[in-house]
Amino acid sequence: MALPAIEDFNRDDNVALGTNWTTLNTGGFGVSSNNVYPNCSGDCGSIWNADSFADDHYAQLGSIVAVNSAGDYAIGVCVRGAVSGARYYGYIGLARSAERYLIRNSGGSPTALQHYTGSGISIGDSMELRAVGSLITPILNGSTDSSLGTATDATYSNGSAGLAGYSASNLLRGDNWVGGNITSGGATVQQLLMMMGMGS
Amino acid sequence: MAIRYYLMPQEPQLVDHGVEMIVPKYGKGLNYGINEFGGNGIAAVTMEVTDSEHTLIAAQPDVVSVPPLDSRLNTAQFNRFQTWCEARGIPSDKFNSNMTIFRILSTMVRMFQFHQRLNGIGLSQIGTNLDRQIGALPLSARQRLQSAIVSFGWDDKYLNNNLSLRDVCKQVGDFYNKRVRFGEIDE
Repeated sequence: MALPAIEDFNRDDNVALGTNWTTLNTGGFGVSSNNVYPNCSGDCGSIWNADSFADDHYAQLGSIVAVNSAGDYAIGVCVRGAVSGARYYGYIGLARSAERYLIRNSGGSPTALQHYTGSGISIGDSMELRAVGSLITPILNGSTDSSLGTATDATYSNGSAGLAGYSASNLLRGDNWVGGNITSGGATVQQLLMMMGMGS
Repeated sequence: MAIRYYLMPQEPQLVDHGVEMIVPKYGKGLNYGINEFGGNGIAAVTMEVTDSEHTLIAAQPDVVSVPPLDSRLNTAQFNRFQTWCEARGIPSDKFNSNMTIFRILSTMVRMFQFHQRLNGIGLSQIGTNLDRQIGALPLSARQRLQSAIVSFGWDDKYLNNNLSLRDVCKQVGDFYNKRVRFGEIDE
């Protein structure tokens, strides 16, 4: 396949993502109603395995389509994920506690690099995480998530783009994931939505 | 609310959504960003705090409360800072009292990048004896130092056995000339 990788999750409901995805040993994601949802007992991580990513790459979740504020569930994206060490940088949002995190997960042991309390994620939000050199930049709805802030962390220099989350709930869902390399600033969510036949 | 900077320990804590996460030891639930000193359990932290929260955090014995970014440390403060650094394996002679706090933090964060990469490739700590020569380190440690240097695209011929760990840590901070972002520091 060729990057950017595009995944619409349009298939039968399943407890796993199936072909093209590798679940990190912290747990993964499932498909429900043609959307993706976190489906693990702790921190969820899944990476796209059909392509190799350059060191500088991004992951996007085009939209949050359902949120579950009844419990502590999170969904988001990851970059520089790898099976070896079960590690990734993740950008996740939680509706109930109205928080967003930029984390570094190393073998199921997450470190909070950036934390914001005030708002979490809402239906319609798009989430993106970019890794360029040591800069790990979260982007919410097409703009840098300045409430959360960019992290400078050099722990991991390579890996794959994917999904990140927490716990299991098919009432928290996202759709239209894209992962690709960054050569000069990367593509915007809007550009990629247009490639997928959406947006304007 | 104000943006403040601290040097403080990190520790595993149960956060709001019930997961155990490695977070700054103080300021639970507040908005923050960190820059870690590798796997040493210490981080430079930028945190959004009220005056009362700042008073509480700054009073902790294992916290260094960082003065405003445009200020400079007086002699007594600088001496305490140097002692704090050396006790944790951070080469204090990388800093001088003419540097603004902004410059000190920026320099520290650049050095931390190397320690973070070392942590990522399996060397979480290099210890506090910075005057050990590279040639006296275990082979695995030397290999990881070399791997970390190469991973940044730097010339590994730099890693001379006659250099001290202090020399290397200071030099790699100079090598790291890419953009860093840490709270209000963006250069």
